[in-house]
Amino acid sequence: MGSHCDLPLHGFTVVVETDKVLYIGRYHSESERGILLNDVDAHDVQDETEKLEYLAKSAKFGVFKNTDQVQVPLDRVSSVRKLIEYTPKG
Amino acid sequence: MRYPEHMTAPMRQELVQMGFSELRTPEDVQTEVEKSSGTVLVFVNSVCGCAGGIARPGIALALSHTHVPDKLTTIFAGMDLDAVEYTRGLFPDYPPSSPQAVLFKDGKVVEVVQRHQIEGSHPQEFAGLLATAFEKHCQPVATD
Repeated sequence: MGSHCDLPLHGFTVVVETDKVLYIGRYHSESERGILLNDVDAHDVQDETEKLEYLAKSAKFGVFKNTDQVQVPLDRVSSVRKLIEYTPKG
Repeated sequence: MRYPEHMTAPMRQELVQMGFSELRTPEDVQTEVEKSSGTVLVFVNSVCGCAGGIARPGIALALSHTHVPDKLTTIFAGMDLDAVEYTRGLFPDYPPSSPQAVLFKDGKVVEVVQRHQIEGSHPQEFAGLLATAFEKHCQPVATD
């Protein structure tokens, strides 16, 4: 039987995107109830430009958590990517 | 809440054997980092296997580079609570992270490597990040 540590994203700092909120935190696990994140920055997205700027800043400096733990329902998730992927080029 | 000492002791020892000195109090940080001239690496040690287990061997590799910091120091997240809090106060633009590597030059922060830049990588990649920072800010190692 596997453990959470066997999950490919377990322990990674990820960006879970929903229609209105970005959740940036450490991926713990996934179940039918959603994706469980620890040490989370939940950020209200204003527009696409602001979102990309916020992600680039987070990728450069790190995550200022404002919530200990969040479970994001799967039906609200539009994408899950590692934060490092948003590092600005150059 | 602190981790049990017996759990963290081998991780501390790994760095001490590389030449790191441990900073246990804010006063240690003031003396060894804030008031120190030259370059000082502060490594925030971590029990995390996803990143701490990559970072420590990565540091060992980076220390074989042509340029290295004048001084190597470490604090342990979740253990040396006062020292960690004090140190983090020296670079408030960066959120708390463990592990974390912070390079100071003449008491000022010049480079920070955060956990999300370490997790999932190979020790060689983390060593490469450190080596780039060392080459930019540190003196070459004297050779006879």
